[in-house]
Amino acid sequence: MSLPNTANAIARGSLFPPEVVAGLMNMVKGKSALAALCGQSPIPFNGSKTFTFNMDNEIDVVAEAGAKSAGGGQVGAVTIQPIKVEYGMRVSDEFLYGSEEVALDILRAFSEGWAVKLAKGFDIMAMHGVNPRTGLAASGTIGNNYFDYAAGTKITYLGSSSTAYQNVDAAIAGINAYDHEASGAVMGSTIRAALAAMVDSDTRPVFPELAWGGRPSSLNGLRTEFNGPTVEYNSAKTRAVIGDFANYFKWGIAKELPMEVIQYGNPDNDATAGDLKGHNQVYLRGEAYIGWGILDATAFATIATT
Amino acid sequence: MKYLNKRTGVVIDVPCRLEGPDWEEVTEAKEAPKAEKAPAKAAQKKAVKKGADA
Repeated sequence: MSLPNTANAIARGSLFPPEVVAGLMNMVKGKSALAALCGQSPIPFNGSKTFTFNMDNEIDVVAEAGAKSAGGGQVGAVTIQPIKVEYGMRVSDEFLYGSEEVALDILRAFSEGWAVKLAKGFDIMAMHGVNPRTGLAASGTIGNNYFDYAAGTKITYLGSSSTAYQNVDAAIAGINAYDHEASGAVMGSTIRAALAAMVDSDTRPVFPELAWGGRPSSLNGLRTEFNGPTVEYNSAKTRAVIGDFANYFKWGIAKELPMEVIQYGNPDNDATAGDLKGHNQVYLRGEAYIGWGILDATAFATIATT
Repeated sequence: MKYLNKRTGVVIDVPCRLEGPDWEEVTEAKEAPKAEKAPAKAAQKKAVKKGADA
């Protein structure tokens, strides 16, 4: 509570404005679990086509002078087509000039925030096939190239601590049935909390490393990444994605355009906000072309509620 | 619940529902039709014999 400024006693009151601390505290949150489980690969701007070759049958034992049969094989192709993603915002000239005076580097903060948003958006797109901004299916651009749809094994999440453990086991059994090994798991907050609450017959936590928000890099030898905001994005039913990310998932940034400071026009097509120059505004924009492909859907399993 | 992978022929027994283009739930009838019928017939015959004795 500030004291009144009177003739008898001079009080600070609101005479001295608070000092602006140099630098912006960046509040943009997000990360990519998929990028952590699978290294980036170079993706051509025009897309890439990876051919897959498989021999479904086993070797044949042939008796002396016996007839031989065909083993057979399959050739397929996975196309990775980069899609354009962007983030932008309007800033007034006054804010830019004023922020320079108090050493607030808004451009740097935007650039850092854009990288975070791109990482988070990549997970949302590759897991759920939606446009991260609208939450709507991006069928025209992403198509069926996302884990919720493509995973070869889909496990129903049962909803308790002990069953969460069984769900993970079932998902891995499904992957193993195709002769694949799981290299990692991306888990959402629900299944993470369920596993953290799981206790043995002596009421000791089965995964003490998960207690108090712990995010271990592996559980029972399986590499784990925890990313609740993307796995359960927009109330998605998905609880975890498990599979061989190291060998059968590929992603990369085909082109990242340098951050733009646009001074003219109406770059966000906002009829109400109108022309930038007409309102003494500039538009900050980050843009990138990012592509990914699930090379073999049978190497992945999802755990999701019904 | 048992599920058969139609592509690889692997059967897995899991406590939760499983779906996928290659997966098919294995019902008891599909799993072992002969093994179930044989003991049932033997039991029926024995029951008939017991009834005849009485």
